[in-house]
Amino acid sequence: MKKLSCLLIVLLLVLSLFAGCGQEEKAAAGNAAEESTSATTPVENPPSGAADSAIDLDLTQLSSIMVYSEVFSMMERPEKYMGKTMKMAGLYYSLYDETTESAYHFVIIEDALECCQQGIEFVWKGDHGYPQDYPEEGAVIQVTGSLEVYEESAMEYYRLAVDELTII
Amino acid sequence: MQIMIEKLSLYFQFPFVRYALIVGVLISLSSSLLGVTLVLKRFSFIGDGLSHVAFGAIAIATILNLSNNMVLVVPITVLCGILLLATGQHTKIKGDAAVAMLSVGSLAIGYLLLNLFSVSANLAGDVCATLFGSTAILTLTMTEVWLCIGMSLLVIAVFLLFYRQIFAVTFDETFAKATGTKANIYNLLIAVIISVIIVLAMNLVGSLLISALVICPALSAMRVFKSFKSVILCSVVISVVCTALGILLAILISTPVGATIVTVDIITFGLFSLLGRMTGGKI
Amino acid sequence: MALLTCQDLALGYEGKKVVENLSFSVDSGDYLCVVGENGSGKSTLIKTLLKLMPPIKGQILTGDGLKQNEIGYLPQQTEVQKDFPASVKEVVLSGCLNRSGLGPFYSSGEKKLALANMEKLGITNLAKRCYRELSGGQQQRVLLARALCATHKLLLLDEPVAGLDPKATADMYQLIEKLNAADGITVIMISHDIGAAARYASHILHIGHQKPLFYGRKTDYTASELGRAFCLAKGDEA
Repeated sequence: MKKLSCLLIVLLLVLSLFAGCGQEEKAAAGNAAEESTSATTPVENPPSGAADSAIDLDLTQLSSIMVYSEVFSMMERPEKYMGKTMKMAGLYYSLYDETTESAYHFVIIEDALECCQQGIEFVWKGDHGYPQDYPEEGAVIQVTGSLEVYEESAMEYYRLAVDELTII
Repeated sequence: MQIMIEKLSLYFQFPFVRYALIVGVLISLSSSLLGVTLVLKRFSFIGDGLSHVAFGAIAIATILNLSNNMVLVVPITVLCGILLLATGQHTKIKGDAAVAMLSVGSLAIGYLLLNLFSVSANLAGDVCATLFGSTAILTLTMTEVWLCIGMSLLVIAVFLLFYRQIFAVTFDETFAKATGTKANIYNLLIAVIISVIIVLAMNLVGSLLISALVICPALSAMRVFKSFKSVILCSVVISVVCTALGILLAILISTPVGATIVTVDIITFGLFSLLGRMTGGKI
Repeated sequence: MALLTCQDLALGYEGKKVVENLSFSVDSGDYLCVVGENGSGKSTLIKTLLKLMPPIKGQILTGDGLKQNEIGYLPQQTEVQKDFPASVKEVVLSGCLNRSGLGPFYSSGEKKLALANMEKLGITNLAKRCYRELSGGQQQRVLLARALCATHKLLLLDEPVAGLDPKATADMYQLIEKLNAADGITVIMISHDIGAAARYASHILHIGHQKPLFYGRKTDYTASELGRAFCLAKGDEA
C-alpha cells in the first residue's frame, strides 16, 4: 500500500509539473502580446504558437504530428475555432465542380505516417481568378485566415477565409 | 534542450496533448498490470490474437457506421477473449492454433469487409491508423477520452480487488482450485480484463503493437525484480514512464505515436536485461 | 466418524475407468500412503479427492467437520513456477486465500499464520527470497507451508519427494512425519516409493492395475505376501 501511494504521488507530481509548465508559458505569452489567449479558459481554447498578436493559432510552429492532430480536432469540434485567425501550411489541391460551376480549394495536411491526411477547404478573399492566379496543384502553400461556416445545398460546411496566400 | 522544453510547454497548451497523456498513462498502467499474468500463464500470444479480433470488430463497426464503435468492439473482443482464455485448456484444437485461426481470420475478413463496404474516402489511412495507431491517441473525441478513462479505472479497480486471487490462479491453478478458489471464474475474469485492455490499447499503439505494450514492461521488470508485487509495481512504472516518454517524443519529432512508445519499451527492456545481468538478481 | 470415507469408488476420465472398487477410510491422525505403479490411478484418486474431477461411481464422504476447502494440497511442481517471480512469503501467504475475503491485502492474522508455518518448516530465513531460485527441497518446504496455511486437518501430498536428492528426500519425510505425529495432521501421501511408505505410513493403499490390491494397516501390509514382494524388490534396487 505504501509503495502504491508513493507511486500515485509521483504520478501526480509529474502531471502537475506538466500542468505548471503550460501555465507559465501561458502567463508569459499573455504578458508579451497575447491578451486574448490568456484571458480565456485554457482547456477550451486552442492556444497560440506565435508572438504575432494577429494570429491566434500558428500551425507552422508545430511538429507535423501536432498539426495533423490539431486539424483533426478542428474538424471534430469546429465551433471552438470559429472566428480564430490561424496560419497553416500544406499542399494545395483544388476541385472543380461542374454542377455548381465553382472551384473548391484545399490545404492538405498529412500525418506522421503519411497514410492519413486531412483537407481543409479555403476561400481566398479578394479578386483572384481561377485557375490563373492560384498556385499549381500540389504546391506547398502557407495561408493565413479565419475559420467560417457557410451553407450549400442545405448542408453546413466549414472553411478558412484566407487573407494571405504564399507559395513556399 | 531549452528549445525542446519550450516546444513541449507550447504543446501542452493543446487540450488533445493533455488528454493523450492522461489517457495514455492510464491505459499503459492498466495494461501493465496484467502483463505479468499473461507472460507467466503463457498467454503472450493471446494479446496479439485478440487485437486482430478487435481490428475485425472495428471494421464491422466502421461499415455499420456506428458513431461510437466501442459499443461493438468491446463485446466482440471480450467474447473472443473468453473463448480463447477460459476454454483454451479443454478444446480439441490446441490453444495456439485456435488463436492463430481466430486472429488471422478476423484480420483478413475485417480488411475484406472494409474494402467491400467502406464509405470512407481514405481506406488505406483508416486501416493504417487502426493497425499502427499512428495518431489515434491524439485524435480522441471527448466521448472516447471518458470511455478510456472509465475503463482503465475499472480494470485497475478489479485488479486491486482480486489481486490475491489472480496471483493464486497464476502461480498454481490446481492448488487454488483444490483449496476452494473458484479458479474458472477468475480465469474468466482475467480473460475479460485482458480483452478490455486490448481494446483500450488499440487507441494507444494500434492493433499490431499491442502485445509489445502489454508484454515488454512485464518482461523488463522480471529481469530485475524477484517478487510478484515488486514485478507488478516495476512494470507499472516502466509502462507509464515509457508511454509518457513515447508520446512526448512522438509529438516533438513527429514520429508515429504507437511505434515510438513500443520502441521506448524495447530499449527499456534492453536496459533492464543488462541491469538484471549486472545485479545477478540480487534485488 | 472417519475424516474421509470412500465407498466403492470408480475413477477415470471421460467415462474410461482407470480404477474401480476402491473403498477405504482415513481417520484423524492417520498417515495413509497410496502406492502403485505409474498409470495405476494414483493421481486420478488425488484429483477426485480434491473434487477437481467427479468420480464415475461411488462417493466420498467427509466427516469430523472437514470442509472441502480445508484440504491442504502439495501438488507436483508445474512448468509455470520455474520462472515465476514470487517471494517465498507471497507463495506461503497464497495458501490463506480460502479463508479470507476480497481485496489486495492479507489480514494480520493470516500473515501470522503464514509466518508460523514458515517457522515450523524452517524456512523463515528464506521469506524474502525468490521462489524460483530455491533448491528443490526448499521449494517443496515452501509449498508445504502454503498447504499448511490452507488446512490444519488434512494434507494431501502428491509425490512430495519427486526430483529431490537423497538428503532432501530424507528431510522431507522426517518433516511430514513430524507434522503427522507432533501436530496431529492427517496425511495422505501418493508415492511410488514403497520402501518409504512401509517405513513412515500407518496405513497403506496399494493400487494395482485397475483395482486395489491392498488396503489396511502397514503392519499387515509388510506381513502380507504382496508387501513382502514389493518391499524386497525395492530393497534389491537400492
